[in-house]
Amino acid sequence: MKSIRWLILSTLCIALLPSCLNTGVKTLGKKVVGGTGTPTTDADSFSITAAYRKDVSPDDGLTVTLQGTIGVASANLVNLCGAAGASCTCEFYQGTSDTAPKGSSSVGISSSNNSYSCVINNGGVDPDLFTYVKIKTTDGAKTSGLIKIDTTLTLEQVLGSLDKKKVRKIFRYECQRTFFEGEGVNANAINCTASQRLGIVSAPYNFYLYQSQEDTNFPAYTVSTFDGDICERTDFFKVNCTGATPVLRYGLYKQSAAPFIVGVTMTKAPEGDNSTEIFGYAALPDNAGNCPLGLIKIRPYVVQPPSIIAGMFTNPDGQPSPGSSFINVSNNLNNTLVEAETDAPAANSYTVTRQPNAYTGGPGSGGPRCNANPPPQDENIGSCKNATFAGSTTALTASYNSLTPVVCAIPRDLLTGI
Amino acid sequence: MKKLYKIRKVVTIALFVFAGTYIFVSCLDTKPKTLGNSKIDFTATDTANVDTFKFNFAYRDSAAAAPLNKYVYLQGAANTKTTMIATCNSAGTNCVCEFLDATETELEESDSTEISFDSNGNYFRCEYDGVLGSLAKVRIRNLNSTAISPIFDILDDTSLTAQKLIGSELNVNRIRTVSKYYCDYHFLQKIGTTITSFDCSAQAASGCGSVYCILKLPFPFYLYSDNLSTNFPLRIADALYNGGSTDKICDVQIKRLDCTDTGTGTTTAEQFGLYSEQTGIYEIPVLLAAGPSMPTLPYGFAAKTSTFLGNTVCPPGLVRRIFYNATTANIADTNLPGSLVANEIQDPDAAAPADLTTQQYIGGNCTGTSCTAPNYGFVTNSTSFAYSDAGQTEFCVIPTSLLD
Repeated sequence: MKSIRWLILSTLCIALLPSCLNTGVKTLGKKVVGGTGTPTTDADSFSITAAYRKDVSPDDGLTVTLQGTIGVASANLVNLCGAAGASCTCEFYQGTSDTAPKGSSSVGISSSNNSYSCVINNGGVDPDLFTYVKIKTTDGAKTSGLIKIDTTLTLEQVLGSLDKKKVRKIFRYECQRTFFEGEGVNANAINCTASQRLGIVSAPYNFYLYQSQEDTNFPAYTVSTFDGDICERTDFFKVNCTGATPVLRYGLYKQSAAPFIVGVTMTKAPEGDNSTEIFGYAALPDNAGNCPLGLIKIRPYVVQPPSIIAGMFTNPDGQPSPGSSFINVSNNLNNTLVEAETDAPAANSYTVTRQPNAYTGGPGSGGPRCNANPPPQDENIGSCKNATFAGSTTALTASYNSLTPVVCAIPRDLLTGI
Repeated sequence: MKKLYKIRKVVTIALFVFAGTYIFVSCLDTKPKTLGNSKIDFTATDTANVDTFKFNFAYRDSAAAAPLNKYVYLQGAANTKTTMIATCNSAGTNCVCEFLDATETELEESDSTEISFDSNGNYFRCEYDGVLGSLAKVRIRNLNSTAISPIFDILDDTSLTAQKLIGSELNVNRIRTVSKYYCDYHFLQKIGTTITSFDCSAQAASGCGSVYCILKLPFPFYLYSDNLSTNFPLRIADALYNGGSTDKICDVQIKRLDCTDTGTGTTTAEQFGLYSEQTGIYEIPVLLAAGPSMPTLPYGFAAKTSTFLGNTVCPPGLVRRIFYNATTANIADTNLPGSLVANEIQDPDAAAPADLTTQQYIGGNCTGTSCTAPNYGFVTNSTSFAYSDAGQTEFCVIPTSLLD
């Protein structure tokens, strides 16, 4: 009996003590042999989840960012490094047995991102050769172990303890909306007048979808038609999204969890119930404007096309173009994108096209107009059955303006495989 | 043997107590461990005198004309003016600047005639007499060395950043970029037209050579955007005469306002930055309007100018700006009102803005019941109204080079 008690006790001690000792957040850099052998090494003073160097030309990137554990006050790096980070510094090692590490030429801290950055004082050495970093207090009392410097990050590193199944991939697709021009056309009505030169105006609008391992709001919208005919024609789509392939843009987190705390509202379709909702949550940039490690800035971009009015163009018959229903006086024809700053839309990338009425004037060319053929005209008032349209040409181009807020999302290159 | 059992019993109980205590204390402590350290009690300040003598950055304008290119500026952190004056006195002469080379070897110190404090901008100016090529760093201390700043790299226009400019007390996300765009007012010109009336009657050619014309007048307006807020959605694309009812005047669509870049043929362009909150040296509200008939509101706050060596100067890293205004006057047979005011904002050292000039779209015709559109493809200049900065006060803004 006593032997059993001993056995249980021993098992308990062996099983529980080590596991209790290991419940805390580990520094990635364990006590690794090497470094300078600095005094009073306490390898577990810093709670670091990743060290990252952006390996960019031309200088290969000398800044290394150390990401502290997010969302736990006691793990905040300002506790050790001070509000400006000046109480800490970094050492950079060319391997685990390097005994002559390089220091930092400057340091910085982001309290809201809980990250610490050091610029390698490389002394002419290729930054690629520095593979480990150690963060320590300037008095040497606290120091991390050697932490491997990554030049690429994984989704797991970016998410920390968050669940990658809750990462929503955000997709964008495009639809075409149809508007009209003609003598009886205005913003809200299409009156089918005699000899009307009915024409078509087409403009693109974008919508978004999400997909995670847990849920999705696919599929994309397809088509819709006008309520009733347009001057006895039913061959126009009000909105046409067929053939539009949703394209992956970036990722958001499904629910609010630090650092993803800002809801991003997006629209999935041009029509329908609940088409606009929070698609996911993004992070906020810190006071210096930087995103948490591994995230990218996204922001809204809005294009504001001008109204198309009478006389803006010359029709095939040599006369000024008629008025149109593409009237943007209340910004209802604006198009909004929410895109990464690295994917900012190019200048004049928004294009509105028109297909004017094909009527060229003169004898024998009256057919394409509405109501003018066959005679007598009055019998055909209200009909554009015979109207035909010239080829599509660019009516106008417009540029997107970048808006705010700027928030931080997961870059799409981390989203493959989920 | 019995004794051995007794000892084993005591040890067993002790181990249970130890294990239990450890489990309940250690395992219930869910906060991240600083392993090897049972508590987190480390505190440190960043500099010895962080509360009394804090600066954002040091700066020298290497492109400035002599002697201003020899001055090194030390910008005080937000809301430290009282401390600066208490430490160095209001003239700054109770402090000295130590000029250092790249290895932090002292090159020279300023004397009392070479240092001054600018209370408007909360910064020190220190004149350096040595070889400029050697100068790399600076620090400032009071005469008895009880207050000493850290050593600062001396920045210039290429190395200064927005974060360094405003310091860690302020938030880069609250730096507002102010952008300018143009809205074309379209006024109607036809015999008999007044500010409130226009008819469709057939008339002889008016002053523009056609039955009717459109007078286009490009007005500047301003929008702001920072990382947290924007008023860009206030911008309208355009507006039509009789908009909201028939959308037509004399049976033709005519724009009353054309405010898109595509419509005006201009580009919305960043002008300068302001700080969105009134704090530190950013204390002068800059009032602007987002569009026609919209109120002027404070878009953010600029810094005050000072006078130094006979020049109007800004705190280091900021640039001067001033308002120019142009006021319209009524033109006969048009609905152009008098007293519309256009605001341009410009570098005071630059030439005044080009006159606010009306342009005419000609060729419009009216039949008595309806009119036809003018020719939008052809314009001619007509009346001009000059811009003037009379009575305006300069202010200091964040240059576009420091904006995202």
